[in-house]
Amino acid sequence: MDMTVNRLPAPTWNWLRVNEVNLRNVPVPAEGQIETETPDTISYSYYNKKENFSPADISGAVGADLDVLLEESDGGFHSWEIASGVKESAPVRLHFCYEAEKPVQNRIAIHACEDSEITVIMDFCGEDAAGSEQTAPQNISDFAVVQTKICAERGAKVHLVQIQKLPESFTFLNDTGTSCGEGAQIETIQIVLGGGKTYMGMRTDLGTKASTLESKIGYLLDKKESLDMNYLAYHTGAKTTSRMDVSGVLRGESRKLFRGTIDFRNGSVGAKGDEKEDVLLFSEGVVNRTIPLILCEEEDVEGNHGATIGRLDEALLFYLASRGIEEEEIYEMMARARIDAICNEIPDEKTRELVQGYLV
Amino acid sequence: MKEKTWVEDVNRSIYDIKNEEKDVYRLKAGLTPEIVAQISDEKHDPEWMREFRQKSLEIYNEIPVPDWGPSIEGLNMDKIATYVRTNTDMKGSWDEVPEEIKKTFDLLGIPQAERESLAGVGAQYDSELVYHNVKKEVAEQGVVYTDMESALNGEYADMVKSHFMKLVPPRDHKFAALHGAVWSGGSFVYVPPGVKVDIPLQSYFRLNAPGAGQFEHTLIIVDEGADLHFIEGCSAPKYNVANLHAGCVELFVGKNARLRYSTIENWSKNMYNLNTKRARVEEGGKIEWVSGSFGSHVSYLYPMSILNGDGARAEFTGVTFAGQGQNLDTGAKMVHNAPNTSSYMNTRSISKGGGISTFRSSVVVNPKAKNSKSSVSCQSLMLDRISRSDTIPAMDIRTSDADIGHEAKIGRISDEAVFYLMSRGIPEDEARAMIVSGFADNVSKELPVEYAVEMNNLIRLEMKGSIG
Repeated sequence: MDMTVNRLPAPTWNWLRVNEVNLRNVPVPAEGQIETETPDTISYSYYNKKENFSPADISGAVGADLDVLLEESDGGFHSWEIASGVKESAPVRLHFCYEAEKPVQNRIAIHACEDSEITVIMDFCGEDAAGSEQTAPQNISDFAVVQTKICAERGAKVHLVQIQKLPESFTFLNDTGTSCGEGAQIETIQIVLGGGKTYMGMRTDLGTKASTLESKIGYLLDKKESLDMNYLAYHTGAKTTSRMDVSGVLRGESRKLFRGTIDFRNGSVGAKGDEKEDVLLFSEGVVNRTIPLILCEEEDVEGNHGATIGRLDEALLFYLASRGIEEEEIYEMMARARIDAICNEIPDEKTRELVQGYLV
Repeated sequence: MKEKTWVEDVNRSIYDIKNEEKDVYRLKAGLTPEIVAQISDEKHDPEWMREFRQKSLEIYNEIPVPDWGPSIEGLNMDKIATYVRTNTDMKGSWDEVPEEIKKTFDLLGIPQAERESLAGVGAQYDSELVYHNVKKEVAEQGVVYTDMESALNGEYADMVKSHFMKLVPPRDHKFAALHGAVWSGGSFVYVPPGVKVDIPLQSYFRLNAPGAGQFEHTLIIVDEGADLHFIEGCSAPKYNVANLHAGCVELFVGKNARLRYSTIENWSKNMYNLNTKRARVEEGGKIEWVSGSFGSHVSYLYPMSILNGDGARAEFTGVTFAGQGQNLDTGAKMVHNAPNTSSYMNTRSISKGGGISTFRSSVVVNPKAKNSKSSVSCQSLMLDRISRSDTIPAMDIRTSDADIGHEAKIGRISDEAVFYLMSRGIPEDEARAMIVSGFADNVSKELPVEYAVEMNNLIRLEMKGSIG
């Protein structure tokens, strides 16, 4: 099917070609396998698509066409739930390993009941088709989709970590939708270290008082990889806060588009939203596009956005060069430092090691 | 009951003067090849311009209305008269301008400004200029400042032909095509190499006719090493039918030249302001846009700077104040096409009384623009919770050898600042008005003092009755 994904919440000039992405001939994926590891305190259930499953109604940011695609697939929801008052430090681990020419999808639900705390770690890797040509976008076959719905009840805390290291031939759609109860806290860390064409979206509904989002995104793109993002913090509750930190490096002929929207709706009195993006451009062939939106219909709010895009600071470059470090080495060091800074925030040693392994 | 505001001396009525439509020539409303041909007849167009207009009309009919900005559903081109003129020729002396029109411009302070602080003035009333004059000493430097019709048919005809709608081609967007089809009035300025015009030139556009459009074309060429400040002002009385402004400004800034283009826009609040402004800057040249947007019902306005030469620079300083019934979508576009280019945007938006202000921008750095720099700073102020303020910036960077910075802020008037001023004996309403004026000082400090005063008066006028 043909799909439109990652639609900008408030469109701008069409000639910039950032308002949405059109995908052609997207195959309907089958349900994929997941290797899972679940702590005893957390319950797992599977809901097939015929069952009435309320988290399915939580909106993501990739768009309604993704729901249509997934409805055409056979798969149901894998759901993890943590009971009220339980705080579990051991993570739920979900390992997704995709095969070439086998389009798959998985739908994940995380339900954190009142005053609970849960950590869910997903890592996405894949096997390249040996010796195959890079897949043309008109003929997507190395294709995977993951959709995550998070319901965080009052006072609950959810940590979501996603690590992506896919082959260059893969097209990957990764959508997250979150609904927050009063005082709920959502913390997400997403690191993209490889993938031919990645489309990521995350929508967080901060609809109740004092709910918070803290989202960190890191990426390291090379060759002809592309990363297209659509992030939305939707503030309708009073004193809600959101923070999006995006940091990455573009090399080779890679391309990145970050759409980040803070939307202050009526009722979000005292809300605060911050977006920060820091992009390091390594090569002449790269394309960086950034669209940071702040939409506001409430008076008593505070919204900020800051972006720095380009080469390394000359003073820093000079300082390190004066200590005998080659320029190329300095850039490598700085690229790694950006990912390291995000990696160090991951609340799990094993996952930090996984990321470090990918960086070597 | 006494209004709770300190601003009671600003008189809105000077902008709302309505002159009765008498002794005027008005083409029937609508947009057809016949109407466009009639405009060509009226303007004594050369053949190429007659064809250009008809071709533009075809393009207008092909291009859809924008699907990304404020709604313009209330604009019905079948009800807009595209050409209205009084039965008078353009004059070189205010004494010869018809009394009623002269009185309007007197009240707007144009002749006085000309005497005191301008090098030349053009005054357009509806579709045509009624007055145009340039100071003798400026003309003696070789500066050409004339109306577009004279330029098109006179000794600068070739220069006009080679520049007209080359920066803003009719295919650019629907209302550029409309402009190409029905344009009339406007000014042509040429500043020869090395000439520095010390005091500004000004064009003032007044739309008096209800249900009419104004489509003036401003073409300015500042040659190598020259320097000019051009000021544009506009206003109209308010009617209960839609009016349309779809002007076009094309600025050519030569090597090492500098052009400052300042605008205080105060169209009435029934106006659809769908204006296009664009500058091309050559090596070492600089364009400076200073823009205050206060009027209009709906505005689409994004001056574009195309930095085509090595070391070319652009600055955009703007303030937008959207009040009740207004949806003002404003901002700027920067295109870096050459090495060592730099651009800077510094804007403020204020929303009150249900008004909607949107800051929209783009910074495009193409692969050949090595060592380019760009910085964007936009701040928005919400004065109540029935208004709306959106910030939609875009950056498209295609070289690694660039430094791009962007910052945006949105918020309300700080209670601490109000408290501070009140603790020094300033009443709360006055304190808030002062803070709003101060918020917009990025623009007022860039304007000649007379215009800064006018702008601050407009801000205070907009604040009137909104406090307390």
